Amino acid sequence: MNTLVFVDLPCDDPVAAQEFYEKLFGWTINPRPAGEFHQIVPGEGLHLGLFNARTQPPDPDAKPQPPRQGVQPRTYILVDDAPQVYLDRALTLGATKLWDEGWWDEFNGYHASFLDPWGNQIVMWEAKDKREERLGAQA
Amino acid sequence: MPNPMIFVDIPSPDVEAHSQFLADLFGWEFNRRPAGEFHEILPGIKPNLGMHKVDAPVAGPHPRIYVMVDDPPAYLERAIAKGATKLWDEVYWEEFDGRHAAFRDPWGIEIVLWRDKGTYKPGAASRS
Repeated sequence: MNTLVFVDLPCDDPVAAQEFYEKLFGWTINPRPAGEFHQIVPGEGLHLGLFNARTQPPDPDAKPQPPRQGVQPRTYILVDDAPQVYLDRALTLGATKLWDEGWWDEFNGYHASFLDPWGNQIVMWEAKDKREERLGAQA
Repeated sequence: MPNPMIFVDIPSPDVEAHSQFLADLFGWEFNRRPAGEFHEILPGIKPNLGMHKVDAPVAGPHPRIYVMVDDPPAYLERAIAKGATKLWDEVYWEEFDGRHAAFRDPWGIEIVLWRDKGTYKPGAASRS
């Protein structure tokens, strides 16, 4: 069926990255083993992973990599509040802002983006109908 | 507060050629929104992916994308024939009880081919 099943993010310090993402998104993250590969279990949808960028599991014969260069693949997270709220929280945890919340007309969604402290790009997404639903529930 | 992953977008300096590579390899469909700038990738089962135009290819450590296939060595061989570079042949990952192979596509993206064991349920709630 050739479907997307996981996305793994490289980082120099999976233990610190686990703490960052637990605090930011409230995810459950399982060290398997600690410092090498940390399995992210959001509670809904696909799992993700945090892998040690030096040892690069599950590569059985990892070679040294050059420094990061170019624009990263973007991982989109469907958030339960305004993307700006999550962006502001990410910045307090050490992320770097890429853009404040904006609107993408072609896909009917609000989004904001950051680089995590290890250089991975995350885009937070809230669909228009979900925002209306959320704001309606708050009214 | 699950905050699930819903998409992954791949950067590419040649969105059209890169799309054709993935379409030929995996049989994925593409919506050009607009052509050459942003292509929506439809594997047939969500989550979808996307591809956005950039000036230079990615290099160094970057997020890896795992695609479930029925025969990793066959897909690896097919990818190499289309210009990809082999990262590793199929091996077993005991911690996750899974078999996988991997390649770097001609635009630098690392893709892991994860063997379908027949137990995966698309859209199922994740469990720790």
